[in-house]
Amino acid sequence: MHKKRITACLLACMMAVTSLAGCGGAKDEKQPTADLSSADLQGEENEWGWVVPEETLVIDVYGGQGDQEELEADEKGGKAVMDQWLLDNLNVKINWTYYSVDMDEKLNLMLANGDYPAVITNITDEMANKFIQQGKALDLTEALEKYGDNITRRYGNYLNMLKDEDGHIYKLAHLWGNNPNVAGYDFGIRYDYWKELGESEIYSTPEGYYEAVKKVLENHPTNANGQTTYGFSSVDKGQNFLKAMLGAYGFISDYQHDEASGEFKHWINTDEGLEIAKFVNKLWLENMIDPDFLSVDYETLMTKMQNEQILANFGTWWYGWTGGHQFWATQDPENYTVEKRFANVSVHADGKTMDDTTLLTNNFLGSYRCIITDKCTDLGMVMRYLNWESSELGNFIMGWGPPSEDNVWDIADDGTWVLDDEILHVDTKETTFHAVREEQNGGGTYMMAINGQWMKTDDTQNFDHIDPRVDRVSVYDYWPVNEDGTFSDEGIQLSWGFYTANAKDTSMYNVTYDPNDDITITNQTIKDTLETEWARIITAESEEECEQYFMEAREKCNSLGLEQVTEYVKSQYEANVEKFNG
Amino acid sequence: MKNEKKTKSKKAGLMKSFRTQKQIWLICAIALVWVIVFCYVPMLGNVIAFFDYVPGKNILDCEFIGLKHWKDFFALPDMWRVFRNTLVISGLNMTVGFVAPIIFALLLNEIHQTVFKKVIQTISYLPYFISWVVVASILMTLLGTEGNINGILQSLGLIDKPISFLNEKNMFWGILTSANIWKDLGWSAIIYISAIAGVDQELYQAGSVDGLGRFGKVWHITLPGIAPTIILLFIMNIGNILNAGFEQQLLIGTPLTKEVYENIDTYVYRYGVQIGRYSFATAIGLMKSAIGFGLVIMANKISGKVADMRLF
Repeated sequence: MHKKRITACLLACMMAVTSLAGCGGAKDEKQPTADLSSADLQGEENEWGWVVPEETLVIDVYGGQGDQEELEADEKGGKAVMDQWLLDNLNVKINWTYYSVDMDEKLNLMLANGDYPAVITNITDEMANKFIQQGKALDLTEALEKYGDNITRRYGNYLNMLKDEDGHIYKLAHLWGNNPNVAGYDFGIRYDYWKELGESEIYSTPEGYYEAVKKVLENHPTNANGQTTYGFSSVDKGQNFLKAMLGAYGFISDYQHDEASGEFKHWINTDEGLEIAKFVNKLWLENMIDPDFLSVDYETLMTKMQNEQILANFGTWWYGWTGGHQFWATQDPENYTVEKRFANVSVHADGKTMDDTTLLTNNFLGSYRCIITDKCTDLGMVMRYLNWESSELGNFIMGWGPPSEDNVWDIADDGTWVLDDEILHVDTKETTFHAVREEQNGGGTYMMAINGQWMKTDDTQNFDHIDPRVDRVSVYDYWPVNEDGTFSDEGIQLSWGFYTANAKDTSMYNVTYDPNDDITITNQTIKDTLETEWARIITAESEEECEQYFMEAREKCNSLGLEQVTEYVKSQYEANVEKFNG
Repeated sequence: MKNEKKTKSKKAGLMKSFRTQKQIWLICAIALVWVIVFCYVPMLGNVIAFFDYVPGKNILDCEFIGLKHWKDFFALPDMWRVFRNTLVISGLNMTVGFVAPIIFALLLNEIHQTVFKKVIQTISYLPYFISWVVVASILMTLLGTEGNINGILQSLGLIDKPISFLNEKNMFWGILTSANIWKDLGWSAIIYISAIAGVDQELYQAGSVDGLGRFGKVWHITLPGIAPTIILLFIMNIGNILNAGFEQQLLIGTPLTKEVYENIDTYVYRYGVQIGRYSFATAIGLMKSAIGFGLVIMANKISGKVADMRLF
């Protein structure tokens, strides 16, 4: 009897172990390589800068969380246009797959069962590293040297940052590039109401902002429905206030970096952090913040802004657009005037200059990656394609759709990339540009690993062909401008005319956390603690209480291991700089 | 010797059951296979709780870390607060939330107008089908500073300034329990309503003859009649003592109420699932199941001894 029990237990254990071993990846960790010979094509490049292969190049791509049915239904026909263009002009067919589930969860399942496609894009750096560590991502180094001239040219030194310790490259950035002077955190206010104040100059410091919003609220204590008005609200439990203020003080990703000494300090450990907390608490104590801001969701915030109950906004700039003039212009055109909008204003803390601020940041590599997996049988050709995609023309076509009379742009005889006159009217941009580009011509639906930022001529790229009537052109957007560089649209000029912050390059401050490392848990615990503490600090009932809560939060975070996290951030920064410099 | 005899007779009984009730066994076969495949085989996956498991990596290649995840869990600075919240939230659900459907079913049973009773019953089911996202939105509309409750309280002159109910940590457990009851009341009452329907009608007639009023009949006939169902469900619920839920807390909670809403489920969701620490999430899930299972066994035994009623 006893023997039987032991045998049964052993069998059960064996079954458990073998089942789990079977579920795990069958391969040992190794660094797969691929034969590149099939990509040595003979022949000349066509007008699109592409040597057409004899056999159709088929690329299977997993692009993240999305609606596969909607993609396949292709109701507007944009996908079909792009599919056909790629096939006719490049002899390339791309099969995109999206799943409705969270991408990280799906990728973990893919890793576990070995069922993943040749290319995975829009993947986080952490997940890309998982594939690389398990030998499931191909080494791209040789392929890049042979066929990646556009990629290496346009990345410049930033490509070094993607190298591992041995100098090999296994991943590319999904959407990369410089974002030198567009939108960031701002200190917005209702422009028409600010104008009523008759001030000659707009504010440029948080204190000036406070004064202006206070006066606006005094002039407009209730909205048309009789509801009490507030200066500010939030959809992220007050984090927007913190982020914008940290930007005005020049913090980068929560840290103050003294470049001279190389030291990093978390905001909770700085005097500036306390100043910021007291400032937001003052807004709270003076009833300038919506009392429900800790439980407001996006839709509610939009309703409150559209109902003119929230008269300013600091943090995410576009809330003031979607909750402001974009709504009023379309839903209430009779009462809309061009000045009825939120102006997006940049400010700097006292003692700082606008150049010191980090309201606007520029992260060249972005946060997402593209990998080519060991399921790819033709690495050379896929790299050729990614390289074409990263050519200036390929980049523009992928973002804006194929050039044609039916699209929003075309190529003129003199080589200029001419924009349709109709799309130069900003007030109808949603239908004349975005709808045509995305829905009818497939632009923006096929971007695997390309420049997603500002397409601007510099040392590494040449976009001189773009229609001179527009500026700030990216794969998503553009703005019509006058010859002097100001926005040709009056409303846009009113919104952005007061934004003078310059972009701070934060690419060296990218930090990757491995989920299984203790430092990740410490970091997450501190982040969660601070989310709670921040709410407590800014809703304190007096300045003294606010300071007391701030000090308690500081102590709590330091006891949780903030010093180790700070050291980790510093070490990652130093490693990035070292890599960047080659 | 005795044990061997017992085992043999059990086996014979099972074989006999196969032979004599083969049609029923055949009908159950698909369900049994389903249960084995989807409920028991996945249990083998619990082994990752003892490893530093990385998806895609062979489990045998992953580092064996033994009880590290549990040690980490109990070493967390806020752990006892998390445990307290878990026990309080599920405790409230298991007491107030458990009794409410019984009372509702008893009250419903006292309604003699069939149409009215059915309407009430149907309406009471509806909240069960509303997602927590919608419930959270309803609560925000009701309990916000510009919400209906504040409006009523202010118009009655009971308060001067609106109260931000959802940011008040002293009110959070009450709000959460009320929302849970509102949502599940009708649905949970179904089983009691059917149990009440099964109570012998002659007992009520006998009760009337003996002079029992309506309350007396409920107390002496209906409640004892449905007691086995109540005990059965209570024992089963005890297994969920550490399952306080996470959706509702994450949707209704704010940073100011986190001190009272953070529980094991919300913690595991954020520190296990969201940042991809599957081994950790599994370890805590396993711990919860083991404790739940132990409690069910214990409650079953106690119930057997005290009330002579058992689940198994």
